[in-house]
Amino acid sequence: MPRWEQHTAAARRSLFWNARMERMPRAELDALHLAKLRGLVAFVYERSPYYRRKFDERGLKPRHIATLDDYKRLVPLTDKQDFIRLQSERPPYGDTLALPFDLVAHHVETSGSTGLPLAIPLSAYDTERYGESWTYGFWAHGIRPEDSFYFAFNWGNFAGFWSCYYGARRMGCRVISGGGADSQGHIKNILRLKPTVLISTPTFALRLATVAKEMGVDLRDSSIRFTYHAGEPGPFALPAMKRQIDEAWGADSGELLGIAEIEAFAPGCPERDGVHVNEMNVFAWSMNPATGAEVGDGEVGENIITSYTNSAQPLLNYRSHDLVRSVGGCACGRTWRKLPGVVLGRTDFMVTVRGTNVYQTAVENLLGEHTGVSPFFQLVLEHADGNDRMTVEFEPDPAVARADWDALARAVGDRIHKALHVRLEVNPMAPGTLPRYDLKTKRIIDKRPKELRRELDR
Amino acid sequence: MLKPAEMIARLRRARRLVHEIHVGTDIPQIQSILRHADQNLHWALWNLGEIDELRPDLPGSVKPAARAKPKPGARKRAKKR
Repeated sequence: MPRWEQHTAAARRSLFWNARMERMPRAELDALHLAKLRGLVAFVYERSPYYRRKFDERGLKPRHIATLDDYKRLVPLTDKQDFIRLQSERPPYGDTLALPFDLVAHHVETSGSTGLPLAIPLSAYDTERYGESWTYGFWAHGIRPEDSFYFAFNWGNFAGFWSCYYGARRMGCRVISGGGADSQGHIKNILRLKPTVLISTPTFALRLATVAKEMGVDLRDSSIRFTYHAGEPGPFALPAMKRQIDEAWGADSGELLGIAEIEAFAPGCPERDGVHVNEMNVFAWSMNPATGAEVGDGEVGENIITSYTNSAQPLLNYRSHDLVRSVGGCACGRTWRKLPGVVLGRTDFMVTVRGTNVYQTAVENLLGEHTGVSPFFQLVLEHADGNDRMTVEFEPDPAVARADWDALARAVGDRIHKALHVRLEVNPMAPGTLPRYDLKTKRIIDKRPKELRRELDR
Repeated sequence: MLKPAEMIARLRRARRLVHEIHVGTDIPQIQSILRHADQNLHWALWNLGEIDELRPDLPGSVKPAARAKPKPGARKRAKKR
């Protein structure tokens, strides 16, 4: 047998991981989507009790899906809360599984930032496919098989790190786990092991840069040539973030948009101003969240996503609650839908505090349920030391004695910590001091610099 | 360079060969390796635009009931969301 090279010289010169598919004309892509969606609808109707029930409630049969428009209009929307409820009623997966249990090869979870974590079962094949989106992004960013990855993460159950690992494996790169190391340990590991790619959240890349400076280390002299980020607004969403990371590391930063339960579905564009939906792995369209109607090309709408690659727990017409501006065509040559600025805002406002996504609605729900907390409260957002910070200010119920305010604040903080896995500062305020509103109450007081907010939050 | 149709034909042939070996052995290790090989061959076909099955390993997932023509009037019977 001849010896194999991983890639031939011609393949290495390619600017695309798969030029044929990444540049496929729209009409051909849509024809492929239709065939995939019809196959997927038949698959879930046959194999998932959850989807069969949802379809039967509407009198919907797989044969009714004849066009992409049919799919968007007829297949019911799904939402994370449905899946969490079904899973909590009958752990671990409720009736959302579409595969025999013995084909579930990897269990991962969401971060639990909106409440309970969502369990994500993946088959072995799903894990292979999940990672592929990262690889499209790595290749477009200039990363090649001789590069090596440093993962500045602890290796828990969170899906994102694992999918990135699958992607690095697919490309054939050396992989180094940063599991168990603190910030100084990460810096020392990088200096000792000489990886060329840093994988981290964007704010953690900046945190590492600060720590390195304190250690007297200039990361611009390190082996890192690329940084690649996900999990929170990053360099392609926030130009200021891109500038800071690139300068601190002397490297090119990249970004991928993923949703743990869907997949790492939108790798970064080499133009470095947005991401492209991986149209081999998912189908996405944009919806006006108020009316449910599809919005046009270039208009802001909620990203509604269907994954072809999570066959264990399929997600069809899944509400991401991410507001995006989806456009066709890009200077980079890809025909896959582009999301300039990545996620522009949330249908339910979200902020990332110390690496944890915190939703306004989740905090509001907890405050609203807590005995002794009045309806008058607000969430103050600030940005300090490279991180977003959220402070809860609330007025205790007038029945609560002044002497008990601090204990109440501690109890509220503990409740938030337990439910959302993040410690927020909670300050009791004298009754009558917080602003009152005649119309819609303004809960968020955003004091962050505009350039560090998502576009629609500015 | 092979044309896409030529790649697809060879990949399909490779899958048939892999399957022949899989059913022709009782060595668990070899069967496991071949299963992964088949998944990768299926994935290569998918990424060349061949999508006649969602998964390679489940009977019934192959069916393009999906591709059957809807009966006239069938769509109207499905309730809109």
